[in-house]
Amino acid sequence: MKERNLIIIAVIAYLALVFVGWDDSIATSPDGRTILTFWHTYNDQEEVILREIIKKWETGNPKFTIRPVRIPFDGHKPKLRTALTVGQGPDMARVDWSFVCELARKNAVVDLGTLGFETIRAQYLPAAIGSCNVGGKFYGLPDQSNCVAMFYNRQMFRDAGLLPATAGDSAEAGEFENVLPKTWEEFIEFGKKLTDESKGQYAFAMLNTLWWNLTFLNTYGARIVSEDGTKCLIDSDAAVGAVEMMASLFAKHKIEAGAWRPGAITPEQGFVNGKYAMIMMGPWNLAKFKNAKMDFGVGLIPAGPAGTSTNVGGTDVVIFKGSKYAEACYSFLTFFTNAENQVRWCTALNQLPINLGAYDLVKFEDQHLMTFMEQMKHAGPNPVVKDFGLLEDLVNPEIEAVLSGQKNAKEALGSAAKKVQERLLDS
Amino acid sequence: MAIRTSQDTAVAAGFLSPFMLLFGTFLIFPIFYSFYLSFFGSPTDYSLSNLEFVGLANYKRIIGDFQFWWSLGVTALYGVISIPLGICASLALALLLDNKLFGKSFFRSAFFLPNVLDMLVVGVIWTLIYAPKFGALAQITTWLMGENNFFNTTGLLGSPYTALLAVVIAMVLKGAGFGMVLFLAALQNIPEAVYEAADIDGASEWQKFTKITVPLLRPIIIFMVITGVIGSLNAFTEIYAMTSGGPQVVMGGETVGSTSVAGYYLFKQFDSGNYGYAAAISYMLLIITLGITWLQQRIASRNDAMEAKK
Repeated sequence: MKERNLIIIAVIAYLALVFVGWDDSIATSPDGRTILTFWHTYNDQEEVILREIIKKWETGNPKFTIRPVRIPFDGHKPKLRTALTVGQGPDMARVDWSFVCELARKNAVVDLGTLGFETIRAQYLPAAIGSCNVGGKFYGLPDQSNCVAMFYNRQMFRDAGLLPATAGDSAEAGEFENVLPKTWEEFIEFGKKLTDESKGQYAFAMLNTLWWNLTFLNTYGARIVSEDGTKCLIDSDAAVGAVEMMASLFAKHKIEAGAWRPGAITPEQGFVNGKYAMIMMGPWNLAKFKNAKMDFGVGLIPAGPAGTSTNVGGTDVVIFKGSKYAEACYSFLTFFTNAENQVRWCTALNQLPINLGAYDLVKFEDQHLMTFMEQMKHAGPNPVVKDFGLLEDLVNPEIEAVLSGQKNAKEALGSAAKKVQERLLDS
Repeated sequence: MAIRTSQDTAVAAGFLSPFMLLFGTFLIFPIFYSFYLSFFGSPTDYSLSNLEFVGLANYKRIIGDFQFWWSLGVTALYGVISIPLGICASLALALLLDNKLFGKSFFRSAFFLPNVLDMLVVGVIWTLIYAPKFGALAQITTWLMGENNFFNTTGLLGSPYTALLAVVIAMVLKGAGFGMVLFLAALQNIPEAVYEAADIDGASEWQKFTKITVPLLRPIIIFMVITGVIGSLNAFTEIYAMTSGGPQVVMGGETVGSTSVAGYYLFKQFDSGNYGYAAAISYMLLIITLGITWLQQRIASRNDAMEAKK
């Protein structure tokens, strides 16, 4: 009996100790420095360089220490939303470009203009910084930017007689200029030579989400929303032309595999398996395709009426309003993305720079990355809306209805424009 | 004696308290809190403390929301196809394995195994099976019928007219093992003497099945119908894993997802941060579920009363 009582007392004492001693607001390190929490989504290699840059910054800022906390990229939005809802958000975070507008509209992040951002704004790549611009104010800095370009399977090009049989295995500088079609008209002609339905081989495979479709839309000069973010423009003649052309690749010219349909083999899988000759893809898959021992090249997106173009992806870093040390966070993030650190970052990780000062200093051995740098110069602006997910939910089904031949492009985009205006822009 | 009883009650309450604490925090509280949320609009920031009270506006919005009613229709269709198919598949497996078969134990485990697997995993596996051009089904049909067949060109999940059926088939085969175990237990509880009496009366195998086996399995069938209805109204993971609500179909000029069941539509609303509207939808679904369950039990008890009169 005595023993049982002792155990009960011990358990109660332990719980009381935990309850009293629990403090989730530990803000200083054992050596007395103020901790700044940075939630990020970098991979192992990226985190090594991140820690190296943090160390450099801490040397010049001895009062602070940065605690990087890795969270998975898939699901970083709900994780941050939940943390902010319960008041447990970090000081700063790396977020997908499409999330910045939502964070700004919900008054969760700091307007960098109040910290002197105007003086250094010109350093950043205009296409990348565009996603941080909400109503003329900048709520984040780009830390990583990418776009898509056209990947092509060189073996399939050789087999179709579109590349000399003697062409080597490695992509040669400037090869894309001679090999890939320069316009969508040429692309269709190439497509007919590369498609062999009896072998299950298709010239092209595409996904149907607005972000991927921006590539087509941008080559036609179409815009999704007006610059001031008040009017939906997706039913413009340019957009209708772009979507009609997209649909024709599948339905009329039969050079697209139907990879946009639910359950179909994705462009990435089909490309690796040698079933799709061309796909739009970003630089993040270069290593994967190389590891798969693929013989591939990368070229510019074929030009539409507005020339070659692409979309802009990537991530931004933001400072949360809940942070007591916004200035220190700003100091770190501008240091992290300055030209010198960008050169180190991009060279070590084979990534595209977002700081214009680093643009001419970064030289990649991989010619594919040089193609991406060239493509990036022609990127069109992304639509900045308070909920990009909702924009996709409203637009994607309508474009699918066009691709599957159930609606014409004008009717579908008219319907999409009405929904976007009512449920996203006016609400 | 009274002291002893109150002491027992205190001890029981003490043992129950950890569970009750978790139950209250993660089930009871969210149930009432989501009801409370259903009277509020979408938050303008990330705080849930300054939501705008909108009264019954979310419920009124549901009435005019075509997408919601469409998703409810898809859910009903999903239930109408999947429940009978599920019962038939489970019963067929149980009848098959109730015989003296070689390797019976192995097949019982094998058929039950998919039920243990996660819904998401099963969904992804079936997506690969159905995939046009490279999926297992496409390969088999190409071998049998040549390149130009529907399973190879479009795939079951690629057409708005077959996608729901494809999901149903996958889920029926996943869940059949569980129903099979229930039916097997019930079959083994039917006394042999009943069948022997029927044999003496000259009943055929079909008559024995329809007049003895099925009526005696009725409690299991009713149980499976009720859980099937609840399962259909809660269907989400299989749609998330296999179709994301698509493919799209145009109905009366409106573009809607052919597999967008109510659970998936609810998720999309929640995912977009429309907490109040999502909560109102979940309460609407709760009311519908309770109504259907009540109706089923009324019908079942009336049938029982009629049987008793006979």
